[in-house]
Amino acid sequence: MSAAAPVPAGAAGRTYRPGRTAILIGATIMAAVLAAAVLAPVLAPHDPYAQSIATRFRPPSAEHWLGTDGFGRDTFSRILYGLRVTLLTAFASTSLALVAGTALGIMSGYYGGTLDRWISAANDLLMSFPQMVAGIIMVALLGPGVTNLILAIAITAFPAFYRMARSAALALRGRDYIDACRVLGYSDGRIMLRHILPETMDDMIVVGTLWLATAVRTESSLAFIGLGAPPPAATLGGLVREGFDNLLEYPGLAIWPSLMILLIMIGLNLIGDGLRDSNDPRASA
Amino acid sequence: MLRFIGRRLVTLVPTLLAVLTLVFVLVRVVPGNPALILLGDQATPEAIARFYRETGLDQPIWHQYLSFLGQIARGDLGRSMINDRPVTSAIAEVLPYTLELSIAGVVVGVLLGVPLGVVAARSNGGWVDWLVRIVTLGGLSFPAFVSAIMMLLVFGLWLGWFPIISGGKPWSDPGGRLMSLALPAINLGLVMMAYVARVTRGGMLNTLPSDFIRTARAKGVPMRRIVWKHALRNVLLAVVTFTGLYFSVLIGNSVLTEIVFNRPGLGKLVVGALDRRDYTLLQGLVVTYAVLVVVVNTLTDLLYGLVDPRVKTG
Repeated sequence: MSAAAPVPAGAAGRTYRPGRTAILIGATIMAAVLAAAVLAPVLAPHDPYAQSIATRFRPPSAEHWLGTDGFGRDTFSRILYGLRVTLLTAFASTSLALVAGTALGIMSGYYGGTLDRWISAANDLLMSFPQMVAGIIMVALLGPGVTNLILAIAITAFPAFYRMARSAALALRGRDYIDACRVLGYSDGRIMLRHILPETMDDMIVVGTLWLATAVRTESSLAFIGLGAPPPAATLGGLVREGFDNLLEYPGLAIWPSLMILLIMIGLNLIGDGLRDSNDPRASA
Repeated sequence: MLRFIGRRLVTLVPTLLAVLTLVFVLVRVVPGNPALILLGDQATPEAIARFYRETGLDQPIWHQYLSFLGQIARGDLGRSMINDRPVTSAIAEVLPYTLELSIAGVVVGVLLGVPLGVVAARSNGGWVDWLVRIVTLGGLSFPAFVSAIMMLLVFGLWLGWFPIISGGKPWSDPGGRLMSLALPAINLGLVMMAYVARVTRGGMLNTLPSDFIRTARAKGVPMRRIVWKHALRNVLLAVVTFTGLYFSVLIGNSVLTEIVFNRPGLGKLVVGALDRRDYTLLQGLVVTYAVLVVVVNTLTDLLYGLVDPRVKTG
């Protein structure tokens, strides 16, 4: 590993190393997936909600590339539209968790004391529920719907960001340059925003990418259980669920959306792994 | 050791108390009137009043809280809102299946993951390392229900190696029971395997350049023995930690696995309770899951003390 010539890059002066192939493949996959989601109205050959009794359970054909479901709806079109819901939910919930987790984490680590104790205790509490179970409870309590889904997934993702930001702020707090800022009379807000936040961003982005994958998984898993966006909306997990009901006769209905979920997961994990490896090739735990 | 165990068990109490309090609060901040949800919009005021009296919801909140805690302390999780069955017995009936599946999943994950991680670290950067990388990437990328469906289709339906419905075979038929456990356990184990393999690989790469490894080599200890005995012993600490940490992921995945393989267990109970809006059952299940995670975390800490004697004094 040490044989690879380290290329200095970035303001932090970190040495960047291999992992770029993984990022490249992952980014290509995600670019294609994102394009498909954005262009769904153009790309979809059929209306994803148009039902037709005459075309129920059709096998793949030139007319319906991936066949049709039990309502005669075009599977390919439904996957494209499902992609939109899944990606939107994942991005929105991860961003929400990232912003809230980073903000509270930095404040916790920087101020310490009572504030830190309370937020940390609440966070530990949150972590004693399995993520999947916490998601189920949240959606069950808040009721179905995309907004509630986003909120639920954000809450389950919060601890990861909070802990990361907190430990980073805790480590930075004692540094000389932060003391210097204090001596200069900078406000706490300015120190946290301008001098601590930028230092944590590298790590937060890696965690963010990996949690984006987790959010996709949670969303599709909840949808599979029946807690996703309510029908007739198409979501990838919901499509798998619908397909699962007819698994023995028409396995394709469950397989195609499953493969799409898998593709997104692989793409995001490749980017996340690659980013982490280029920060530290040894600690790919 | 006993003092260490005792100290660790004492810290369990506030954690459990906090979890229970959260569950209590969560169930009560639900938007919507539980009486209307259960009895329907047409419920008469008398029916609603009776419902409140029977469920104790007409008592002051602190009274409800104390009786909630008291009930749980006595091992009583209330009765199902739907069929009036004691929640404890409904859970106790299927808990063994979920525990059996989870333990089997951990065993599969550790038994496959540790060797994979070790050989990957040994080949660091080589083709074996890349192969393991691809395998672990797969393990981390498959949502549990997707891998479960694919395994069900391939090994259950098309190849016919395993039963499709892994229902509750009794232990008097150990062969059938193991066969029905195999696919779900492997499904759970694959994700665990990926995590464990990565932790093991990372730990190995950190340990192998250590002085004590060099000393062992200088003494002429065979490399195989150094890796699998001296180095691995140090790495196991991290493996134990992460296995404990990812147990809650595993529990989440067990919900999905049980649904796909149509296995009895807590997961199926959760879905049933959601469908029927059985809030007491749901509350009991959340408590069970949280207790399970807290207990496993405690066990992890205890195991930690066993693997590394230095921890006990800490």
